[in-house]
Amino acid sequence: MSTDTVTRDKWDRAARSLDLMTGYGPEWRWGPAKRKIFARMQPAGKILFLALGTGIDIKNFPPGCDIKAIDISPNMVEKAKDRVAAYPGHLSAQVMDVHAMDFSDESFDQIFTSCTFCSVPNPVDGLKSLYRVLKPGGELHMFEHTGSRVFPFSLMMKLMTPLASRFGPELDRDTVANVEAAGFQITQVNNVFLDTVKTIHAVK
Amino acid sequence: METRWYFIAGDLAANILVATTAVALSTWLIGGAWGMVPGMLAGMVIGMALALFPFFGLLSIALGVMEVMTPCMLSGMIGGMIGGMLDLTGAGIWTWGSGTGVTVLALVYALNATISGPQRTGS
Repeated sequence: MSTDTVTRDKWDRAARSLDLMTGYGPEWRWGPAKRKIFARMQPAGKILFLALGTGIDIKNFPPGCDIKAIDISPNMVEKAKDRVAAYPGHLSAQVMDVHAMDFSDESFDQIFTSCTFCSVPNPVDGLKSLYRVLKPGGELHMFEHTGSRVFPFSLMMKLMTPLASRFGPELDRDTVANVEAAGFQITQVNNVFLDTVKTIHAVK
Repeated sequence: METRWYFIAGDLAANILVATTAVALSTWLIGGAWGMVPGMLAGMVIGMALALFPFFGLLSIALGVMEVMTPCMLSGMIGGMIGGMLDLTGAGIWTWGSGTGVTVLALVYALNATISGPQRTGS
């Protein structure tokens, strides 16, 4: 499968303002929940992280881990360069589409995602790619915003998605169902804010 | 459940600002002149649009994404509906706007306290 250029170009454009839009309020708000999820990174294993973005999440990674980080956008990876270099451990960043990853099967012990599957165009296919590269018994840990099942938020998010997805993420994804549809076994779902921001833990 | 004062005060100010502006704008544009139901529907659209442009972009930088978007859109929507149905003056606009913002935020915080936390363990 070739790289999705429409998605790549959209996030290349977003790279210019991503730090401004997400680096302050959203990071302050979500920092504690993100640190809790990234604290599960195990230094002994091989870790895949997506999507890297401009590397805002790197400061929340525990030191000393072996992490490969990917992002579909070359501009994002370029902007993340200094943060990647400053990580006290082994962290490498690559431009790669989750739908077309060139990692071999069962090559990671853990996979972490941060606000990723609101934006991957074919979420179940993307999650199946993660399933492929994860070792049997390996862990998937996700910090994601999703659609809501609570009215009127469910309606509002459906109405806003056509607009929001032109510039950034979709707002009405059922990521928990998508994780299960990709073959993972859910071990925990934790609502961080309403049912629209959550952490999802699953195993292969 | 949010316990940090920066965010509690910020959420409160944001919702009052969006709701009051929505009441004011739809009062100015419609102000009960279209009848109850058309005024309410038009006001709802005005309020939702207002919550998105220009407020969401600015408020989200300081306060977060979903935590701003969900209550503020609801505050804008309800504020717009009120302004579309009623012909209000200055004090009325402020009272209905601030009341809407505070009430919506209180309901969202209460709902969040109910449904946040672990939901599922195991498949």
